[in-house]
Amino acid sequence: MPITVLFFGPLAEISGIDRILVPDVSDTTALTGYLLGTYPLLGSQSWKLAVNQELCPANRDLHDGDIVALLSPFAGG
Amino acid sequence: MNSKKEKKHTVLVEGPISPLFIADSISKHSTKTDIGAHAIFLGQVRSDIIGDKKVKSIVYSAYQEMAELEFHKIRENAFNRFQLTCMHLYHSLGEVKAGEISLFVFVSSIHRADAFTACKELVDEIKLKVPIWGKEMMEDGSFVWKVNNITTFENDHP
Repeated sequence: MPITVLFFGPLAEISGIDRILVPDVSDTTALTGYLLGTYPLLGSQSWKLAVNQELCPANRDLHDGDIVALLSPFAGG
Repeated sequence: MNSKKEKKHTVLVEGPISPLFIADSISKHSTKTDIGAHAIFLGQVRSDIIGDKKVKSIVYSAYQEMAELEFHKIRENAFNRFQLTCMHLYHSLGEVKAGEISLFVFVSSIHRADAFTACKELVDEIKLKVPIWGKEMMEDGSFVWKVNNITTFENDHP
C-alpha cells in the first residue's frame, strides 16, 4: 500500500528529498513515526500533514494512492 | 476574466507582479459602472536586516495544487461573507527582489465598507492558510527561511 509523501520548503531541505514512497503504513500516526525514524532532523521542526491536500489535524487512516504532504509553517505574502 | 464565483482562477504567477499589470487590472474595471469602491493590497518584498545581512530577494515556493485549492476556498468564503462585485488574487512564485510586489489583492464593491473589510480578511487568510514558503536570499549568497508573524503551527506532528 504505497503512500506518496511530499516534502516542502525547509522540510525538503532538511530531509534532502522532496518525494518518497512509503509502503505499509495504516494511518498518519504510523507514517509520522516512520518519517521521524527515517529523518530524525524532522523532530526538531514544526510541521503539519496534509492528506490529499487537506490539513490533517488528528490521526487518520491512509489508503493506497494517498498523497501526504509535510508542510512547514506557511510564509506567503 | 472578471466573472465572479464559479470559475477556477490561477492565482500563482511566476516572478514579481508588475505595476503595469496592476494598472491594467484597474483600468479593466472602467466598464463596470456598478462598482463604487476598489480596495487594493500590495505586498512588497522588504529588505530586512537579519543579523548583519541584508535581504536581497525572496524565492517563493508552494504546494501548488493545495495552494490553488486554498485560494479558491478563501475566495468563495469572501464572496459569501461580503457583497463584492469582483475579486482578483495573485501571489508570486520564484524570485521577487526587494522593492518588487509579490502579493496583489484587489476587491471591488458597491460601497467601500465591504471592499475594505474583505481586502484585509483576504490578506490575513492568505498568510494563514495557503501553503507557500519564502527563502530570504541575502546579499552574500546565504539564505534564511521567511517566518510570518501569524504562525499557528505548534509542534504537533499528528
